[in-house]
Amino acid sequence: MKTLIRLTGYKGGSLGKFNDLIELKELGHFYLINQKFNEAISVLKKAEDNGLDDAELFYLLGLAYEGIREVTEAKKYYEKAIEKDPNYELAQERLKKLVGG
Amino acid sequence: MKDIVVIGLGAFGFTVAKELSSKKMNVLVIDKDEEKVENISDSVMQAIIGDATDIEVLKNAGVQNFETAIVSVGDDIPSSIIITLNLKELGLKQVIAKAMNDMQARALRRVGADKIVFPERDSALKLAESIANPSIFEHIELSPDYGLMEVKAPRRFLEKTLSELDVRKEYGVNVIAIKRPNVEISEEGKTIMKENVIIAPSGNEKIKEGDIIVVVGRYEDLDKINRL
Repeated sequence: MKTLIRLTGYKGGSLGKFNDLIELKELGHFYLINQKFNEAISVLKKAEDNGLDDAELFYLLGLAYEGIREVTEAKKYYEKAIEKDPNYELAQERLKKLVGG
Repeated sequence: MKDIVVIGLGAFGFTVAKELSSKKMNVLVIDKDEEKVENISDSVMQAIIGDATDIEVLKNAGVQNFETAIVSVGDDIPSSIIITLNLKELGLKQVIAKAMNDMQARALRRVGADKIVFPERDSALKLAESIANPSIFEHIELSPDYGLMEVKAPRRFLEKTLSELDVRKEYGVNVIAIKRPNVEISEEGKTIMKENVIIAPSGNEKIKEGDIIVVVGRYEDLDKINRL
């Protein structure tokens, strides 16, 4: 609850917003490891829509979509993670698993 | 430990030979192409450059001491037939031959092949199935009437237990397993995706979003599940 209140009213300034987006990512991660994939997608997408442009964010979104078997979206996010960081091994492994070969 | 001969090191033969070898089987490979034989030589027990249509080549390689052979020269139909004939003449108990079409398969059976595989046809059928029915992850024919299917759990199954769903009574199929995605933190601290498989799930098991259910039943009943 405390976290949600902070997120709806930014402190002002880009650093405050950035910290909020990182918190969103961490919340998404928390949902993921608790197998709450739809909830993870919701908060992680919010972070993305608000400008977080981060390979790990995209990877986590890929995992969340893979969790609900939305393969097309999962692939899209793994590809985004790799585009952001071509050495992102975890994303490469998941993409290879989805695409095959 | 099984001893297996693989003749022909195209994509299929190469992969089969390597995979069998990795499973600790004694694999002897034979191919006319020196480069292909060299490429696999470190991965198998023995790799020989030779023309398997010549029965003397097979005898010199000691093929008669093996029980099982895989003939993977499907593109070269006359050679596949001659090699199969040679292998049966040498007394191998089981000869598995790759075929490109029904006509070749008939000829291979005629000369004694014990099993015919159609890797390209089978892959094509699977691909067509996966495109036509994206919610089906696997489909295996058990008999002319019964099959096994892995399918994304239908929306109406979500958050219900197997007892509540009474799948056998309502749909005529048995749920024999559930494949469930699981995100976890690895020992190295990385966030990774694994898949938990619940075999013979109990009636209390609740179906969750992301579950793939493995069901067995008559084809018409499997089709009903797929259409939900």
